[in-house]
Amino acid sequence: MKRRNFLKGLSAAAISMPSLAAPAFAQKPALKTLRIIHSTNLASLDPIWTTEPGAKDYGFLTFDQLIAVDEHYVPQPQMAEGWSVEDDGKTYIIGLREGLKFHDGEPVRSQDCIPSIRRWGARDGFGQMMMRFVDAFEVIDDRKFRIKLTKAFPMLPAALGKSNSSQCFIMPERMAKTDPMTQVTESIGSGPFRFLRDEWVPGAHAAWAKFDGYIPRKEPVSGIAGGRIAAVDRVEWSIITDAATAMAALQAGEQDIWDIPAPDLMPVLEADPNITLFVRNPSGTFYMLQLNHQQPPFNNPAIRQAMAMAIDQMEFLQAIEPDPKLIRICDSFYACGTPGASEAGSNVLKVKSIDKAKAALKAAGYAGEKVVILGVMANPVLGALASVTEDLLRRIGMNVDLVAMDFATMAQRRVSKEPVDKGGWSLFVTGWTGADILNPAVNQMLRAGGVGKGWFGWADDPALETLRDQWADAGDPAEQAKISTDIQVEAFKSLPYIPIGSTSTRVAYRKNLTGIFSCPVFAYWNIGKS
Amino acid sequence: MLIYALRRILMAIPVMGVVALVIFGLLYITPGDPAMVIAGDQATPDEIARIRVSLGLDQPAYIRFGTWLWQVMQGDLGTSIFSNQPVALMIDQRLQPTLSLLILAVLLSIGIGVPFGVAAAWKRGKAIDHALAIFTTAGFSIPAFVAGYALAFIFASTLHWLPVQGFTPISEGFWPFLRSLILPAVTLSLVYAAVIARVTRAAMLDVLSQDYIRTAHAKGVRPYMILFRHALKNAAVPVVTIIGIGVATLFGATVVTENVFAIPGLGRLTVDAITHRDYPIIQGVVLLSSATYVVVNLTVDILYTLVDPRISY
Repeated sequence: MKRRNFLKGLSAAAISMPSLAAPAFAQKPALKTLRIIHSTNLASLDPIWTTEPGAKDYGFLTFDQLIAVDEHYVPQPQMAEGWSVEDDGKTYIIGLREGLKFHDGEPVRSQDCIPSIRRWGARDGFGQMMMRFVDAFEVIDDRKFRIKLTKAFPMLPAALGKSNSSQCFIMPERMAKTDPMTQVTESIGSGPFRFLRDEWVPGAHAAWAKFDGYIPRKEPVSGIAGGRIAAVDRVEWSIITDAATAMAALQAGEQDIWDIPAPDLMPVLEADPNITLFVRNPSGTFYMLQLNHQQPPFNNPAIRQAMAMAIDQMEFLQAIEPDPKLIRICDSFYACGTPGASEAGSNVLKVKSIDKAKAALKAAGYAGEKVVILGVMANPVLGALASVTEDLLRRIGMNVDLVAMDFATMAQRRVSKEPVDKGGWSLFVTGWTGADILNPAVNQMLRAGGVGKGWFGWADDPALETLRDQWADAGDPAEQAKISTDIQVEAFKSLPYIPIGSTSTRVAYRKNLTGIFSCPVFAYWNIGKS
Repeated sequence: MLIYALRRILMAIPVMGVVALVIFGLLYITPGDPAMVIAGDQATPDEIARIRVSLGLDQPAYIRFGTWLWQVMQGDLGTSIFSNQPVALMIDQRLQPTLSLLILAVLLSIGIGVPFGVAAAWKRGKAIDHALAIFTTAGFSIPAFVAGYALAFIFASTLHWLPVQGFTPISEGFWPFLRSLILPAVTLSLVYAAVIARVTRAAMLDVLSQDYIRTAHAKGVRPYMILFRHALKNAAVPVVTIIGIGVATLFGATVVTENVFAIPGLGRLTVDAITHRDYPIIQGVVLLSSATYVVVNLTVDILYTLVDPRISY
């Protein structure tokens, strides 16, 4: 055989081998399987016990909520048929829709909802705030229960229906009665998809099957409210941590959705005619510099102000997002683009001058104290932002030490209140979704109760804490909005943290998918395949 | 021989105990706290402390080590802090992909490396010897992740012959199973095939220069008999040694390959466990890894006696 003929034969064989071209997962009946590249691991099956992103996404597929916020963050009934408010706002009566079932076939009852609320309220920040007002829960009947409050708390539906951090998912009574500090051992949910525990390989694979007993709402989907329709028979997550592999798998059709595509691969995905890129979470991700208020130099308010003068958010954002359309300057402590955001009091962020910052730093009495940045360099976004921060602080004349570490190390070290030479720290970069900083209740970084009460950094601003209490006590939305603005003005004076802007992230999916909708979380209901 | 093997296995038990102690000590001094990762950003110090208590992380190190050791002696590797699943089950889930990848990579390495090395020694200074030099240089110098991406681009993304990622269990058919392993196994075997080829060539050159080979030539023994019956067998000891080392080293090298091809193996399990500070998994995998080293070394020692009758224990 001549070499040329041999090569021709090889090419012909390659073309005529359809079985070779079939992807690995096509061996299963994959007609109605939604295959998702999930960037974060599903390590735990308890979204109340841990706030890990994988557990939250698992929660939204597996469990349902009594109330859920729509795309305008307005709470809407979800499992609830509705609710009524009595006794000048001090009593809420919540009724359940008819026919709701758990994945083991048992009906969803008030007796399940109450311990679910209690367990969530013991762990979540907004939940803890709500529980401060709760006097008692009372079962009226299997489908109706009463929440009695010590005083009116109009944010109760918003708390129960929140989309950020930890959500009030409804579990069977026996699961919900588990100590909030202990992980539940079952995965019996109330949501549109049933978790297939036998297929779960932590760190690699997870799968769900459509739960035929789920009754979705009739309303169209909006945010996390509305009809949660299981539009496929199966949902599968593949945990692919390597970006190039994830992209290749999506392009080859082995996967359908990539939840968090790497920014540097966007041009390749944009050029692929089979792929669509979509800004799914319109509120975006907000980044901030968290300062340690208990140790020099940032225990000096004037030094915090001086540093803020040097901040040009664009410098930070361009380091992590090459597409200018996905960058948003946000001179607010609340998520820009949501009703609570404004630029009130943000003058210090308008300065954007290294020279003025240098002068202010000198006037503040900065004496060369070391600034230790906890840099989570394993994360490309947080690592890049830490590097920009290091450069900025050097340019204004600060003595900076950027310490590289992984998240677990940072999570431990940021607890330290010691001086930097004894294992302490000065600042770290963190990022939260827009839903996490919507208002003073959910924005944990705005806590300023000092050591013991505040978030890491332990800002100490009694005026800010008083305003926060007033906000929680406020009777009507207009009053709350005013106090919310006052909180921001005060926060720009004491700077519990410094906002450095936001970026929007896109999901990448194959064009044969239908029903992709805007959503503040990674929810996979309503998504089908043509 | 049997007594020797038993003695070696018994000797391995204290070695593994020391390894376990060292690993536990290293984990103990490594910063990071799983309770904080679990609790999340909103947690108060009190909540974190309660989680630590519920996980037993508040106990002194010697009690935690003692508890774990007692569990291991009873055949229980413990429970994952995060997934609440038995570590033995999690390792079992990951064992098939890693072992399959390892076996295929070793077979490929031997299948490529030994014949290539023999041929290069036989035809020293000829084209095949130069080809071996190029192959080994490339094998040594191209990192596994570069080779992996290149192979995936050509054979998966462009030609669509093989899958880009993932692992298909053998229970779903031998061919789908093999398809999912071809690219990762080739990637993993490149460097070890180069090592084996180099060592085989050197060992063969040494043997081929011996007097008894010259005598065999003079007696008119056919070349392939000289090569495979007289030379290769006597050159086998260093080759077996390097294969043994390769098997043990490949166990660790699978981490990168598993990541590039998204294979749910032990390497990825270990990396995830380290990221989360899931101590029981890390300890379980390290124990398994050290046991593998012991078994491989023992196997190599026994193989010596088979390839060289002069060696006895």
